[in-house]
Amino acid sequence: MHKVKSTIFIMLFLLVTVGMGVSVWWSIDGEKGADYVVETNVPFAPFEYYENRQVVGVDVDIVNRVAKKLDKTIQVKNVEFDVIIDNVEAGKIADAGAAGLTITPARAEKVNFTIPYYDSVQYVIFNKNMPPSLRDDHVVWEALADAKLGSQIGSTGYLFVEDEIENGVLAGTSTTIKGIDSHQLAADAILAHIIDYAVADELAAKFIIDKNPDLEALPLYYSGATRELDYPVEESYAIAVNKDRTELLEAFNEVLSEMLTEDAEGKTEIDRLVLKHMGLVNE
Amino acid sequence: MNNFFEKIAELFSTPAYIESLLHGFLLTIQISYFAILIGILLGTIIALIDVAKPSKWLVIPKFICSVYTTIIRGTPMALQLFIMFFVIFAFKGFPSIITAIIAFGLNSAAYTAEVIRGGILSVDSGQTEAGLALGLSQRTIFFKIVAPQAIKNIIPALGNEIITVIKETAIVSMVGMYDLNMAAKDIGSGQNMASYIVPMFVAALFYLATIYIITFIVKRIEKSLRKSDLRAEA
Repeated sequence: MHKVKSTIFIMLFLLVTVGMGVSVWWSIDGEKGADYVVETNVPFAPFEYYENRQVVGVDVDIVNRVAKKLDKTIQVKNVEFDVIIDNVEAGKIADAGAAGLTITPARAEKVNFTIPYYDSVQYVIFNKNMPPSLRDDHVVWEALADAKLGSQIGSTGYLFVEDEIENGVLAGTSTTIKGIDSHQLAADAILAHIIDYAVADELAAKFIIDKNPDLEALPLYYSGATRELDYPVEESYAIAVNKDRTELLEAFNEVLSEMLTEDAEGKTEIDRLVLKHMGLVNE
Repeated sequence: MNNFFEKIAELFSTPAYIESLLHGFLLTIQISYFAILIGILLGTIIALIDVAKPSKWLVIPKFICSVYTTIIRGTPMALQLFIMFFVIFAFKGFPSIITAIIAFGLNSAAYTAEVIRGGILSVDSGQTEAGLALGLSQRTIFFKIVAPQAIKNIIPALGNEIITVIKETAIVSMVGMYDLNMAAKDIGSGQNMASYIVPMFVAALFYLATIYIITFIVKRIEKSLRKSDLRAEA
C-alpha cells in the first residue's frame, strides 16, 4: 500500500513538473530573438498600457513603425521607470527607452534623445473636498507650499517638484515630496490621505480623474508677474536611444518627423494615435 | 464602503480582468514552483555539506556554503532580484522568467538549507553513536535512523518557506513581469479601474487561497509522518 502511494506521489510530481516546464517553455518562446530591445514603463496611458497583457500605446506604435522601417524585430519590455535611462545608457539589455521620457539635461548626458514628439504639461491631482487655492483654471506652484506632495518616482513631475523645493519657488517652505510607484498609486495615496496633492503628466492625470469622481486635476503653472502672465510647466517627450546606436536614432527621427507632419486637417499622426488610445476609455 | 463592493462586483463581472488575474496567477505559480524545487535540491546539498563531518576535502565546500548562506540571507530579496536582472543575466533576449526562477531558487536554497540543517541536528547525536555501537554503517545510520526523524522536523518549517517564496514572488512586478501583483496593478491602472485598492484586495484573495491549499497539504503530510507520535492525536 505504501509503495503504491509513493509511486502515485512520484508520478503526480513528475506530471506537474513536466506540465509546468512546458508552460514555462511556451512563455519563453515569445521572448527571444529580438534585434533591439526598447524599455518602457506601464501604466502610462495612452503612451503605454497593457491590453490583453501586451504592452500597447502610442510609444509602441512608434516603435513598430521603426521596426518596419529597419526591417528588424524590436521587443518592447516593461520595467521600472527609474531604471530605463540607466539601462539604455549601459546598452546591455536595452537599446532605447520609449516611456514618455522628458528631455532633461541630466538625462541627455547619458543617452541620445530623438526629436520631441509630444508636448505635455504637468497637472496637479487633488481631492475635490480639499482643493489647493486655485487661480482661475490652474494651480500655481505657490499654492502647493507646505503641502505633502507625491509623484511617480523618477518622473519629471517628481524632478520638477524636487527642484522647486531645493532652490525654486518652494525653497524654505516645509513642502515635502514622496516618490510613489506610479501615478495611479499617487492618486490612491491622495484618497488615503497619505499625501495632499499629486503631480502627474497631463494625460495620465486625465485618465485618473475620469474614473475617480472624488479627484480633480488642473494644470500646474509658474506664476508670472500678473495672473494673465502665468505660464504652464511644460515638457517635451522624446525617445531615449543608446549613444552607440546611431542607426536606431536616425530611424526613430525619420519615423517621428514623418508622423509629426500635419495632414490636411492640421493634425499629425501622433495626435491621432493619442486620440485613438485615449478613446479606449469610452469604449 | 458601498463603492468598494460595487467595484469588487465590477471586477468579477469583467471577463478581461479575471483573465488577466489568472494569467498573472499562472506566472506566480510557475516561478514559485521551480524556485521551490531548486531551493529544496540545492538547499539539501548545502545542508548535507554543512552537517558532514569535517575533513580536508570539505574545507572549501563548507566555506563556500557558509559564505553563500550569509550573503543570501543577509541581503534583501528585491536587491538580489535587481542584481540578477540588471547585472548577472543582463543579456539581451534572456528570458526573464528563467532569471526570476534562478533568483528566487537561489534565495530559497539558503533558507531551505538552514531548515534542513536544523532538522538534521535536531536528531540527538546519541542515536548516531548508538547506531555506530551496533556496527551499522554511516550510510545506514543516516538513511534509516537520522533522516526519517529529521524529515518530520523539517516539513513544518519547509512549508513555511514555500509559503514565503510564493508571497515573495510578488516583487517580480518591479522588473515588469506580469505576475499576479502586476495583474492587479494593470487592472487598477488609469485606463481600467483607476483604483489600486480593489484589484489588490482580489489579488490578495488569490494568494490567500493558494497558501491555504498549501498549508492544508503540508498539514496532511505532517500528520501522516506523525502517525506513531502520541502528540498528533492531541
